[in-house]
Amino acid sequence: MRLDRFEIETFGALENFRGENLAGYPVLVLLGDNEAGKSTFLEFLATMLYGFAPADRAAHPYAPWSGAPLSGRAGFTLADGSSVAVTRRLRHTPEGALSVTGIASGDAVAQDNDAGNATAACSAERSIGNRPLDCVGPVTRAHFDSFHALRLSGLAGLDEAAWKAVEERLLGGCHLPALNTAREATAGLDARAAELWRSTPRGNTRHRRLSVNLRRLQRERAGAAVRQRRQLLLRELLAGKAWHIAGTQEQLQEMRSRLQRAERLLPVLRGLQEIEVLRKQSAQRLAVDDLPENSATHLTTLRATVKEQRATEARLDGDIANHERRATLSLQDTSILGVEQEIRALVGEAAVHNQDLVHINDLDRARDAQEALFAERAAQVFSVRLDGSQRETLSRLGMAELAARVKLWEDARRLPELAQDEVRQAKEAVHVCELDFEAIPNIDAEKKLRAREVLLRELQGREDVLNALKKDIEASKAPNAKKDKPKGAGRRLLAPIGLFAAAGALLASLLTGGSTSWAMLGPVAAALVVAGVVVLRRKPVAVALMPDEARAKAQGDECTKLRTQLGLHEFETVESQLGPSQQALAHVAARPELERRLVSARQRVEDCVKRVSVKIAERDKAHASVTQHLQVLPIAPSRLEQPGQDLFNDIEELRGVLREMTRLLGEREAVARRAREREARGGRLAESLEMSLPGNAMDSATLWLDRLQTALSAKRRAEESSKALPGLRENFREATERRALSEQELGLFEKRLSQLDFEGKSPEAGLRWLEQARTWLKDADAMERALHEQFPDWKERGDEARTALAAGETLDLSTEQRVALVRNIEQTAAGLATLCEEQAALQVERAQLSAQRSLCDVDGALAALAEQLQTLARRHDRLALLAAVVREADLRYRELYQPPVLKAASAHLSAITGERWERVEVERTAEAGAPRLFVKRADLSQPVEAGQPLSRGLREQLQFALRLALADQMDGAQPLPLVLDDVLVNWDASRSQQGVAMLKALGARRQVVVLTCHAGLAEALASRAGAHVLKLPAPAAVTGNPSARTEAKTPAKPARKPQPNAS
Amino acid sequence: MSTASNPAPLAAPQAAPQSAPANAFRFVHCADVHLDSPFLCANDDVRARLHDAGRAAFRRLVELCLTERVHALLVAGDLFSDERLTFATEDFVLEQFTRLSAAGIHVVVACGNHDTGSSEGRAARMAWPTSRFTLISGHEPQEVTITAADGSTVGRVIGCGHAEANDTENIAALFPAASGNVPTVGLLHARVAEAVGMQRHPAVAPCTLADLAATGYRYWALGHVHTRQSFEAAGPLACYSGTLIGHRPEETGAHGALLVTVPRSGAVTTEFRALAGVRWETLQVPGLASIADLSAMRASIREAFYRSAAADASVHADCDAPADRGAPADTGAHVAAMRWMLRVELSGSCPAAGELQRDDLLEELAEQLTAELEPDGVLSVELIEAGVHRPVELDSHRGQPHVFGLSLAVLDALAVDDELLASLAPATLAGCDGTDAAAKRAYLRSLLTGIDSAAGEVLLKETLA
Repeated sequence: MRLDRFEIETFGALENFRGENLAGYPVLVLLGDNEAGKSTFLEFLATMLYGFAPADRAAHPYAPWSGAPLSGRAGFTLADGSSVAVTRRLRHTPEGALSVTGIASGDAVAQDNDAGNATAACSAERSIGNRPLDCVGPVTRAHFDSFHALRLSGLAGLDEAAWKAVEERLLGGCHLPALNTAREATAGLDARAAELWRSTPRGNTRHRRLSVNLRRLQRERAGAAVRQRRQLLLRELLAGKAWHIAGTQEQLQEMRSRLQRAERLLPVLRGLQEIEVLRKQSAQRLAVDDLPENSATHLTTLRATVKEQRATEARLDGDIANHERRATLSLQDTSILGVEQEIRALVGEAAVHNQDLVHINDLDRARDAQEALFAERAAQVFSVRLDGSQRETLSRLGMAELAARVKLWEDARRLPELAQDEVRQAKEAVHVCELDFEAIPNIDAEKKLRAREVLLRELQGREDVLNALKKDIEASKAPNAKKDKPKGAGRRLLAPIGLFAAAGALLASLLTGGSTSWAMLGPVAAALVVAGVVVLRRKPVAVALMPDEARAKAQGDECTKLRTQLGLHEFETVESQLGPSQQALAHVAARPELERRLVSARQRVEDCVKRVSVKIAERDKAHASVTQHLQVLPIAPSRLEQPGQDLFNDIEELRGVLREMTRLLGEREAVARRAREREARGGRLAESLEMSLPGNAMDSATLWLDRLQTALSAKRRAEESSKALPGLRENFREATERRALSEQELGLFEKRLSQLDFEGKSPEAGLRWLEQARTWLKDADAMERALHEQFPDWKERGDEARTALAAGETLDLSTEQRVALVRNIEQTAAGLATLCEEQAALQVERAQLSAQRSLCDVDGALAALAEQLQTLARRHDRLALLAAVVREADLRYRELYQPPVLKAASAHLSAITGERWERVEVERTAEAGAPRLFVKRADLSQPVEAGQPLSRGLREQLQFALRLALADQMDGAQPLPLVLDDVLVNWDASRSQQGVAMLKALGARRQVVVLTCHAGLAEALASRAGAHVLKLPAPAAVTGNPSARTEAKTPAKPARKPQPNAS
Repeated sequence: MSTASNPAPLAAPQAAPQSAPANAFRFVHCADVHLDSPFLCANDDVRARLHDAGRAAFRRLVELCLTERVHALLVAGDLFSDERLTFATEDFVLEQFTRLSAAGIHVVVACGNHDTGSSEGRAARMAWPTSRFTLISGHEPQEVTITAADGSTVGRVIGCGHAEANDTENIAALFPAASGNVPTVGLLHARVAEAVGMQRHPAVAPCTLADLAATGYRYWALGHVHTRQSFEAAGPLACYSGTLIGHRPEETGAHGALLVTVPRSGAVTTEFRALAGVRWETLQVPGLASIADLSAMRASIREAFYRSAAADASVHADCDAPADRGAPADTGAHVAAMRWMLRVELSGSCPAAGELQRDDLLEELAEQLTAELEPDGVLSVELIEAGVHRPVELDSHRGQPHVFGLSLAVLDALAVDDELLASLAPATLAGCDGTDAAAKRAYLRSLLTGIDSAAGEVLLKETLA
């Protein structure tokens, strides 16, 4: 398919632009400046082929701002020679018309005809709306934009990332701008799938989060199942409890009824029976009651009287025996009373003895304290613990001698340090002298300094003369200029005088050798001599004749010359230069003095060093003296290092402690001796009395005193008993008579009572029977009254009970039976209460379990969660399957299309580069879906990856070759025109020529449209490739009107959105 | 009523017979009540309300029996879920059945595979009413004579139960033939081979319509298949009443029981009575391809719900549904009190696909819709993204020499090429263990629905798609 003619009515900035008879040219060149409309023409051509995109004029980027519709027409010549003319217009809706002219034998024409049977030559126009021309074949607009309409921006300016994206788009199967790359698509799918589920335990997938909930619910379900089973068990338990409670209640009711009847009748029956028994028993024992009412009291009184009389008799007998025994003293009391005075003396000394013992203890504690103090202080002085002999040695140590030796050491120990200080001071003095000596300039420097000083003096003299001349000149210019003469005569008079004075000074300076202050006059005198000679040699006539200005000028020149020689600037004064020079020369003059000072300082250093050695020897001798004196004691070595006054004081303190300890020991011995003597005396007394004492004699002093008091008391009691014995014996005889009468009366009464006791014949038993018989009668009467009061109907109950007994009913429950029955009732009631409590507890537990989450509820949540998991798993698997499908499609694409594409691209690249680069390859790396593009240079064995650092031009040429190959691959029966929008601008001259040749060859197969702003390229294409050049109209000129200027500059730029294939 | 091959539509029920034949056997047939069975819902509060709704439906069932003064209530198995039955529900069931017994209505309960009649089962240990109640727990067909209030026999019920959950014997063949002129009704919990949706249920007591027809019974009260349907072809009328209330999103539509009248002679009539107070519905959003954003999506879903609710109201316009807790029946009140469990499946082309594919936005939208529609009785709105994608023109890319065109070709091949499917199957699948090759293939092919559009979505750039 070739573009044969076109006519652009209005399309962007282009208006009424047309071209005809173009199909015969292999290459068509549109030459225009920037903004002339080259890209607009490309868009126009695509629109003619495919229709308006977008189909809305308001949104179309090339809609003229004038409001006119986009409109144009084009004619194409097909491969079979037929022509297709298309007219398109976009006002509000896209319109299109197609007419076919010529022999329409091709498929394209046949497809363009709605009837499908147009095989004859015809010229019919029909509406095609906004549909593409059918003759474009399988090449979609996206294909066309990618492979047939090549812009420089699509090939150039690619960074690394963009370059790889281009590779993937061109070679990765997704070569269309409308398509995402397979790698991007699969990566996105994989990422989405991985967010949902992963086969590995990595990552926090949604499936995993839900699984956590699922496990929690499963655990909760296990708990709910346990609760459900527990509820089942509770139901059984509750039923059992209910049955148990009902049986127990029935049993309890029966027992309570039985007990109630027995309790109603039995008391009455038993009361009546007891009354009858009591009366019968009383009659059997006591038929007639003739005994005193208070028989027991009477019997007791009789017995008490007899007993009292017997006791009185026995007491009197005992008193007599006691008094007879107390009237005699024991042998021991007699012995104690014999040594009464000795015992009293011993007791008197007991207090003193105790005080002595306390004093001994105090002395022992004080001595222990002194011993501890000594041990503490001795540990600071001695290296070992002192034994007795060493302590004796310490006590006898000559302290005066020690004090003298310590004093000697104290005096000698600091002398070496003082001597060392003197050595340092002497060395510092030597150092100072050496520094001063080093500051003296050497001989050459001294000569230079002296020469410079002479020059400085001369300069100073000349400048003084010059200043004087300047004053004279100023004065001569004044009205009294006559005064100049005497001054000039005076100056001439003073010159010889100054000359002689200077010569004298110079002579004096030379005679003194420059070492005194005369030396300072040397240079000055020399200068004066020179000045005087100069003055004297001047002739008066000449002086008179030389004007002052000329002299001043001559002096000024001399001064300038001298300053130049000295290297002085105008602003530097001579005085400031003379100071340092004079100072340096003064150092030279002081050299002998400095030498003497240095020798003296060094001598002093040697003396001081010797003195240090002497002082150290003296110190060591003093130290040895102290050590020798103390060698009898184990003094700690650390203390001997500095045996000063503190050591002396510590030893003196230890000696004091030893003295105190000796004093305490003596005092203790004296006190202890006195105590031992007293104890020996007491021991002898005890031995004489043959007494055994628990401790020593002095500890038993109080016991001695108690024994003595006891013996004295026994003596007094013996005297009293001897007086009381006769009266006691008379009283005893009277008491014996009274006792005999009372015993006779008691015997008669006991015999009467004994008759009431049928078995034992005992008066006490008879008395009890008497009381019992009387009690039985009383009890029977009382019971009858009580029965009446308690049971007013006791007679009826009694009759009822007797009737029941006669009927064989057991009313007469024994106490054991009754107690057992009551206990049984109580136990049964308690059991019933326990059962009720257990039932209530079970009911509470059941209610609690019922209130918790049921198994049904948990299962519902579980089922919902399981469904979510299933849905999620399906979504994941669907994404994973889709990713696999895309990968498979990508693989198939490469297998289908890559080899021919790469082969053709290699050929194109070889042609462009003059066979320098010969092959294009694609290599799949280990990373799936990420192929890499390689190019091979003819002279290299290995291909190079098509990226950095290959040149931009080469990469553009590679992309250009690839797209040409892809265009060839995509074309159908009608090869579409190839539109190149300034794609050759970065090519060098050689490759541009190769490119032109290749375009010429390409133009034979398909029409090539080159859009360029370079006239040279257009000419080259015209001359070498037979291209036809169309010149685009120049862009509108800029006017003063801002709106007009904007319209003129960018008439065809997208106003509302970028071009569809701008990239 | 519907044919055997199609589930009974939610057609307007017939009006209650104004004057049923005097000697006709009238009963209510229900099955698969599944008390205390789990409701498939993730929200705890909503699940609690569904649980209450299940009880309310059962209460309405009893009210229906009392109101209609039927002779019997036939429960064709799975009255409850054996392992999950709580004692509160047990007491509730016994209380309701005691009401019927006290009212002279006979209750015949056949044990199903979820409430087996084994000695360890709950049914065997429950304190059922002692009069006018029959629990059929074993395989042996058990005959129950139903009498009217005057003592006259109005019908016979012959039923079988299940002592085990996995009962694969064809017990329909064990039923004796009908005899006498008293209407005989079969009561059976079984999977009839011709039933729609039977594959979703285990093969419990599998049988065929021929087995049922061989008995000569006037009516078969069936249970086990949850989809309400009836079979009448050349034999007695056999009906699955469906569940009393839906438990899963798939159990859509109205649920309830059948009011059956079996005259001594003449046709058996059935009326469906909707008793469930909660409806599960799966909505399809109309015009999905033109919905551009989530707000428009929300509006469309609302509109779809209102249309569905309006259709439901019209279905129940003449339905004399029993009211809750014994209140007088009022259809309008029942419809107004209807609660909805909505599931919206989003699949196909939609400009807002990018937003709909985001789970967080989808959940947010579901919450908004639930809040908006709550005044209209909606308990829950669940949005399922089942393959929604942005608009993709597939045909223009088929056969094209690019990756997308080849992807479509591969997808087309996957539908028939087992080898290719096996080669492209992911190494590990989240939803299939892959041990069974056939099952794996079926699973993978089930994933292919709409996957071509998904491929277009990932391969075509959005701006140029």
